[in-house]
Amino acid sequence: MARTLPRTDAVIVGFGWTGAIAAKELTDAGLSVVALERGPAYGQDDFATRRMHDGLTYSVRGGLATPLDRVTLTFRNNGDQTALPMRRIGSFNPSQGFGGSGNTWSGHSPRAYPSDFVLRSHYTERYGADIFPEHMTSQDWGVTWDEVEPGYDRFEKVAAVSGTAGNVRGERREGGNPYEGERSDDFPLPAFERNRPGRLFIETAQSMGLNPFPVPVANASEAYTNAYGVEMGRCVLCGHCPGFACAYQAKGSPVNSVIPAIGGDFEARSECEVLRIERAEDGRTVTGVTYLSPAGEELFQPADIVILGAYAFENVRLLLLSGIGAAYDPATGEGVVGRNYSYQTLANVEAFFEGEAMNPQIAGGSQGTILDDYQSDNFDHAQALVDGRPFIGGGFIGPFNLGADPITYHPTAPGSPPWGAGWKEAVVAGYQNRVGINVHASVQSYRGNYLDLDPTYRDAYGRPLLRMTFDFPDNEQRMMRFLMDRAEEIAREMGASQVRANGLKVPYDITVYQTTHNVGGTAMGADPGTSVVNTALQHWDAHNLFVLGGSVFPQNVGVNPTPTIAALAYHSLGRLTGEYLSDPRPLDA
Amino acid sequence: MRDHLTTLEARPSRRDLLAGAAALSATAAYSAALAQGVGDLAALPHTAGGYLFFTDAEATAVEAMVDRLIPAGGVGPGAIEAGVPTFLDRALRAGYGLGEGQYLEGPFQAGTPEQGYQLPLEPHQLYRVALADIADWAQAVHGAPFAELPPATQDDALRLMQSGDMALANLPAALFFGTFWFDVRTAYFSDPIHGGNRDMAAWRMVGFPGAYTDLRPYLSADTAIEIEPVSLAQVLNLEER
Repeated sequence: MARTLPRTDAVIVGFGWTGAIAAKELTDAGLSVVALERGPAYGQDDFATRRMHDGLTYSVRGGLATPLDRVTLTFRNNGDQTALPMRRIGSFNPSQGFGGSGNTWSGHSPRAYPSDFVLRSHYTERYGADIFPEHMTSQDWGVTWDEVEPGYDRFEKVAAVSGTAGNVRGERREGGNPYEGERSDDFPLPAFERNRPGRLFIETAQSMGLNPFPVPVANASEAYTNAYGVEMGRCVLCGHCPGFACAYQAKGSPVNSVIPAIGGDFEARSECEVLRIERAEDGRTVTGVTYLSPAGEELFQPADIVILGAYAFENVRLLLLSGIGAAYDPATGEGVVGRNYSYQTLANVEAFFEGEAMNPQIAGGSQGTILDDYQSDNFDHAQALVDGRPFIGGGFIGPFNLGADPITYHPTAPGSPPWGAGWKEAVVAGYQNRVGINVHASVQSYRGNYLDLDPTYRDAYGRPLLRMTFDFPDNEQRMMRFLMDRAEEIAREMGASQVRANGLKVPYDITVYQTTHNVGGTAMGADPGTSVVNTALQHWDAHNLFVLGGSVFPQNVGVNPTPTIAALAYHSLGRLTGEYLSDPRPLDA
Repeated sequence: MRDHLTTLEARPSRRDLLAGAAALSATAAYSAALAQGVGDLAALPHTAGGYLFFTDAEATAVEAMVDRLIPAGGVGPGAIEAGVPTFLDRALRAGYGLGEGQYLEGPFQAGTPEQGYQLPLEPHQLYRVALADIADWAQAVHGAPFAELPPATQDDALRLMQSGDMALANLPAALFFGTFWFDVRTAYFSDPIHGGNRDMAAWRMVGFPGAYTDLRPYLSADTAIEIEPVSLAQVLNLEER
């Protein structure tokens, strides 16, 4: 029997981006708040050391990652297979501890597009309903650009996003993204100067009539005091960014940007594993959460409001383990928890420039230069036919230099020996003269791609692991063929002496790192028959339970998800503090 | 994670260890370092022998294999001079070798390639089983240990291992090769504080500056930048002073 602790106004599960933002906004509103985090209590002092430049410990061994021996998931490509556990770090790598994956991301902060939030109705209106393949369950989000935009603006001013705007209050800006949704304000910091691959890409893409721009990034290009009054450092392009925590307090993160500003009646508890959310007898609310203390004692934390703000996988699993909401059944299409899980498509074209030096070591999240001419619905899908048919979605194309630690970055040109003396020579050449043109694109939702509880495998606490059933459908495969052709055209136009196209790997392979952009499973929406949470991210079946994070995406966008996750969190918390506190009730009734 | 950092902080300085190592025989140096914990051994310069995990026979085979995968001479260091076998030996006794952060609960069954590694073996067990299998294969096919085969025959054997065409008694050869070649490259390029990449020679080979910090001044360069690399062993001593 769990020991019951003194009640709090709000308890937050998970202390990453959304948990920290929730703690800040709710304490500012005068609430008492407790945050529960399964990982360690990291603070800025833990990271302000060049130990953060240890590629083995962080990049390879995943020193800040959630250890799989504590919790992993099982995976299969389709329902005919037996799901087996992901036993080693592979396709994605969420982090734990105060700050969560916000410690280890690269900071890429592009916004989604206005049409992304009304995907089903937008495509239907422009192309007709027939463009949607059978079994595609992508849907509208239930919110519009005007509701989300203030959250993007807020996040950019919290996370020190550096960029070049393309559309400020309807005014077109040179050098920025000409397609972007109308911004209420400029970025708080200017974009960084470009590295050599970025300069080459911009020159070439512009000569082809395309519109390259610096990817907006939560790496401070100048010293910055953010919207919460927190002082952040300046990025030095040290080359140790994704997978590492920032040693210079320059990467926008909960630890660097939010947690130092949280005041009021607040307590964050580390090394606490939340077991379940407790339902109330009224059937319409929850009463708090039960968790294990660091010493293994089972504790019940009563709270008037529960904020579920863990990584997408754990948000879904905790709802399933707690029996809150109907679990999705792919056989009938009924149920919602675990429905509409999606991912992103990653592939690249490697361009080798014989005799040239690209200096890949000068790196950080900032050194990404992309174009969105083939992103979202920025182009006419009726004209972009592959195998004679249009596809839904899109993505960005461009070179990144996120880091070039040779442990994980030692590319060799096509035809090089796989090892031996010739391999060494090829590494020396490839390290300097290779530019990767990345393709990063959307994944729609489908009836057969979903999350549920595994019937066999358990976590370290004896609870069922989450089971992922996922593959890249035909729509995504054809989209990636289209995008890869565009990327290869650009690589050749850049003057590469050798080009290698590494297309989307099918079937989806969980062993190869792709991206930590897993979304969906607790979709938001205006219809409780196809969503877990309403447009305020409030659970349809428990009005004092709010779910924040990538799990609320009904399908994945073509851009990096973090700014959208944060923008939706601000939108939800605004409605919570503005409409819910004074009169607790279902907000979308 | 925190324990790991604490261990690093508590270490004697690298200078002290080096002075100690120079004054003692290799065996005695390792024994002295062993008394301070396995982690300290990583800071010692590579010395032939002194393996803690590998048996003599295993070490001989591993040294022979890595010497073919990354041979000495040419543009950069060979795996032996870079300390790759020492790194592997230490890593297999530490968290990595013991399966830290890896999910090793059953039941175990074979899956698809897309589902990845599904054996019940921790990395140290995988190495032990594979090295025994490879020794048996070399004896059965060539009548000699791997290390005593001519270089060209060793290369052929490694190619068979990589392609999966080497029939081992207990393991898919390609699975071990994949793990081994990844670990060898990791050893070759990791910060020297972990026991490989001796004298940062592999970093110098490609032009990686290691734990150097401010690279902004070089952003506009159109030719290869040249920066003397910095290892964590150097930096952490400075931070602790």
